[in-house]
Amino acid sequence: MLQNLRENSKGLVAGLLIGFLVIIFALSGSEALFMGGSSGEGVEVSVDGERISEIDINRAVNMQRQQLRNMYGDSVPSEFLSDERLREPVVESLIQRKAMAVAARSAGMSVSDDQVNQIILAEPMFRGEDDSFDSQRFQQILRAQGFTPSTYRAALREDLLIEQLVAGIAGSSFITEAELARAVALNYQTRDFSYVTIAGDEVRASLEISDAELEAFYQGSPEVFTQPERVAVDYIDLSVENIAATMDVPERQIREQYEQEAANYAGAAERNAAHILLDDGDRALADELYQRLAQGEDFAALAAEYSVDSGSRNQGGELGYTAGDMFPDAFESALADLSVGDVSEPVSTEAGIHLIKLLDERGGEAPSFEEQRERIARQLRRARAEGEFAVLLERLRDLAYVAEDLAEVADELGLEVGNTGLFPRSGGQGVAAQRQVIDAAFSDVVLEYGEASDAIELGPDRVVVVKKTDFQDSYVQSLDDVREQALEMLRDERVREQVASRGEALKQALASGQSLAQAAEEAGLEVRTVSGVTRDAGEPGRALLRHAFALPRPSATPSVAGQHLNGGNYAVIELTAVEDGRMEEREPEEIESLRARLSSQVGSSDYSSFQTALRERVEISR
Amino acid sequence: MSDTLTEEEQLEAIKRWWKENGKFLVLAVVFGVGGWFTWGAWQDQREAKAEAASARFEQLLNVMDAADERGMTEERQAAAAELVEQIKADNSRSLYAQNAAMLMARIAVQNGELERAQRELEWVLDNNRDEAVEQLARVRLARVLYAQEEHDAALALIEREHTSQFAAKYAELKGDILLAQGDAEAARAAYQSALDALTPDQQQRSMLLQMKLDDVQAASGAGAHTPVTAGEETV
Repeated sequence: MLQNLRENSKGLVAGLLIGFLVIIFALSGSEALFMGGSSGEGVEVSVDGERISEIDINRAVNMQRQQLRNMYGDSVPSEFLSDERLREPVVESLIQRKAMAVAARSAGMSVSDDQVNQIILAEPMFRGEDDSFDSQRFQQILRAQGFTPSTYRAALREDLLIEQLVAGIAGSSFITEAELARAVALNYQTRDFSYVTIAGDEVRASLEISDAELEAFYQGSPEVFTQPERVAVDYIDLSVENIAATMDVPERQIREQYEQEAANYAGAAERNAAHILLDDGDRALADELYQRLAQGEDFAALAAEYSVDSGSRNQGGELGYTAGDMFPDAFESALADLSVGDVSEPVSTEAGIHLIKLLDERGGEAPSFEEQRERIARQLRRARAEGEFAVLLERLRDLAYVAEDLAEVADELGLEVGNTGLFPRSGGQGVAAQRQVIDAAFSDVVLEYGEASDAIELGPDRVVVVKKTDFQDSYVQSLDDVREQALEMLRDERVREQVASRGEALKQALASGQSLAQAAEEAGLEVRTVSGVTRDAGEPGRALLRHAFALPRPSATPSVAGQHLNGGNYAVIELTAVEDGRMEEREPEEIESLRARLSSQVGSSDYSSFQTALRERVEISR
Repeated sequence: MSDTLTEEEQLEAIKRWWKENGKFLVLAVVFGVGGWFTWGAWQDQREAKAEAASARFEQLLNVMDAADERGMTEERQAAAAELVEQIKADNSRSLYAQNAAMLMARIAVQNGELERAQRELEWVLDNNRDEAVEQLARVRLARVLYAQEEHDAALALIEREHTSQFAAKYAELKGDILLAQGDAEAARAAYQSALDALTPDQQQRSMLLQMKLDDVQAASGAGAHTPVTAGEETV
């Protein structure tokens, strides 16, 4: 129909209609362009419609891993650094950041190109040897981190925005003098108190426990003395590692492998390239320069004079080392054909016309056979073991399914069989410590029907099969078997009762008007009195201190409380005075450092409230 | 349009349609295109304004940093105050304005000018459109009022509704005020609920809160055990 319209386009009508369509295409077309910008990468998560790309997530996971390594060195178990372990918290924090940025923008916050540029120009990482901004270096570093200049700028913009938000919300927090005074009063509070300690050891030493009492205690708590049900299983532990350990690799194969690799090494040379870059149209100039170079003119001088590559022009045209993948193919292949010191004929790429000089070549020499022998042998053993593993696994599945006995299966396959010994649901030693193995051993198939388990995958290259050999139901252990344990428990209980009742007697005496000194003397105990004790004092022990500081303030009469302490001891504490800390009695530095600490606490707690509130407001799709 | 119509008929149909709807269409296109450009221009202008405010806010942060490192001189305070006023005048509804006012409130508190801090925070509450900012400014204002011993006004502010993320802050301040009013028992309950409402990120506040709570323990008479949580007894 459009065709007809154009042929018949005599009047205004058709022209207008076409114009109208053009406008619609123009508008929707430009829209499509905007939308297209952020797709392309595997999109996973979005916050209020703003996407967090897979590339962003991977980059953040890598950074997190690097930080953990820097912090804890090699002591971090590698499973803590796995992608699976790190990913979730990293995504969570990216969502949090995105939520902050979204909120900031919608509340009218914005960072200009100028601000972003200033940060980039000031970044020492992006500076070349002459300490000025080096655009090539900039791009290289960005590439290494999976950024393009525009995604990097966007990320930086977001960082700046969030920094401003933090500076506004957390940075505007304060501590009033009233709050500071209160904190000083509490933090530097001192207390005077007396206390009596009833020694658990003495009580314990004087305990007499008859057999009848022990029997009663034992009968009274059968759950404590119950041995849980236990199972023992035979197991076959099939893993690539175990198989590899039994493999022999002929010397001839190792050498063959080495020679193959050595050939690759030769190809992996790195070349240091320099170029003179000319605009596409300057073919004639390129040919002229090529002639002049052939007659021995200086490459660096011509580069400085003619090259349009401002990044390399004043460095003699030098671009640095490439392993064959840094420059366009035409460039690399011309470079690879040169000997050191030679200059190529003009080469065209998207950037323009290059005259390329090979400055230097390094690497490409293979390490010696002796150096590599052990590694290659290990790899070959492992490669063969992997093949063997797949075959054995298949047969193991078939045989175990019908087998009377795992030992026969192991024999048939040339493997070994082991036995775990009896272990409870909480697990045992070796393979019996693995959660999946425990679950399988206590599953109906194995426990009830006595069949071999399915192949339990402990990893991509390790499988275990188990079959029950013994089972012991749960039972209450006889008193003779647990006599010592029961006696110990009963003693603990008695000590606790007795110190508390002696403490109670003391408190009664105090309540009826006796002084602590009198009451203690009658009970044959020693009173200690301390005064002006601070919260962080070394004496008389942390537990006692904490309780003394949690006692109600004394009114007309002292506050008294009894408290169990470590080692079966018991204390009766009589609090006589509380003295609040006073600003004017502290050193100014102490006050200032307390103020700084409190301000930062309030700031970060304010920010955390604010942040969580925003987080709950945005819509997250993943 | 059916295929059975001839080309003449098709053209006729289009002409007729155009006669009926043409004016409207032209107007719609004109308005549409006009609106598109106006909206774009308005966007650009809004962006430019935000960026200008952003640059001023950065300057304000620089002044604050300098003051933190080398002391708040009179010049610095005057410079900060001027920037704050400019940012607030630019666009009172932007988060820059809210944050600038809150920074000014902090400066005022540090100088002991509680009434000035109060004015800044009240300005935030009057001009703000964000619920999180509102809750934050409200509790800060209440703290400033508490510092001026205006207990009833402070209490009235924090007894308004707030979300769970701010619960610990509100409850702690409530405890402080109630204690100052002499109601130790109610203060104890408030401190306890503040402790319970602390989020994992806010645990560093728990030490001071525990001190405040311990300090208002009830005198339950001689012979009572201290009401420390059961799990700690044997430690």
